[in-house]
Amino acid sequence: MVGSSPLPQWIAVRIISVTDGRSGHHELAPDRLVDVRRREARAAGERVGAEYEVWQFPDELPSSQPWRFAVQSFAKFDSLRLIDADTSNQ
Amino acid sequence: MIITQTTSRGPESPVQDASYMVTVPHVCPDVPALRRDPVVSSMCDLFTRPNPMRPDVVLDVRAELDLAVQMAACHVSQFFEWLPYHDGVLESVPTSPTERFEWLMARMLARHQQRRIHFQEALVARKLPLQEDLAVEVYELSEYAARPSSEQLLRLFPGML
Repeated sequence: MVGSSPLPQWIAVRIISVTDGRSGHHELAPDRLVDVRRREARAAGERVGAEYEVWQFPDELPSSQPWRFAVQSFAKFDSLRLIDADTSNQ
Repeated sequence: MIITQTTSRGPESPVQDASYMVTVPHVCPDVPALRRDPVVSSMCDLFTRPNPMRPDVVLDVRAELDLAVQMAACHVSQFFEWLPYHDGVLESVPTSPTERFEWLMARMLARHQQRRIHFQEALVARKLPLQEDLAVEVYELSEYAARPSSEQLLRLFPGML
């Protein structure tokens, strides 16, 4: 599990994450999560000698997009238990 | 060559759009336009609608699986926190690095098993043994970018089946 880059020198690999991953965690706050995800990405890239770029686009849904309205609407449904996928915590 | 995550929105994705526009001189004047489209391929996805992924390129990655899991394990907040929380298995995540590696490897092998089932026909056609340790990467070539010849494909995907 140790060693230098397994890629041949003539191959250049760049890994790109288009969004900054700020939204996907149950405990970490978005701004902190962005830093954590950047560090983790760098470590993963270094493992194979690849450059890992994280672009600055937030993955939070923009308020101008219909998806955000859909998520807000679904979340309310869930709190009213109208979507009854899991009955274990009722 | 560009390898992109698949989205069901396919050609509307920024990568697909950019793969053509990178040849258009004035859409982005701060970089020179390319004379030819790059090759663009999308990563493995098991969706079936609107169209199942077409397995244009299949790679046997058994020898690379350890390294892939090591890379995934670097994404601690994803693979050992958020995703197991989301899947309701957070309590099953071990604490020691060795046990975590084995735990993540088991999760990855389960994903590869789904791939073996999903792409069974393509794997059999390529004479791959459908045994438990078979791990494959599968790619679909974008129709909106360069169409590589078979020789070019072999250079881009060494060992492709």
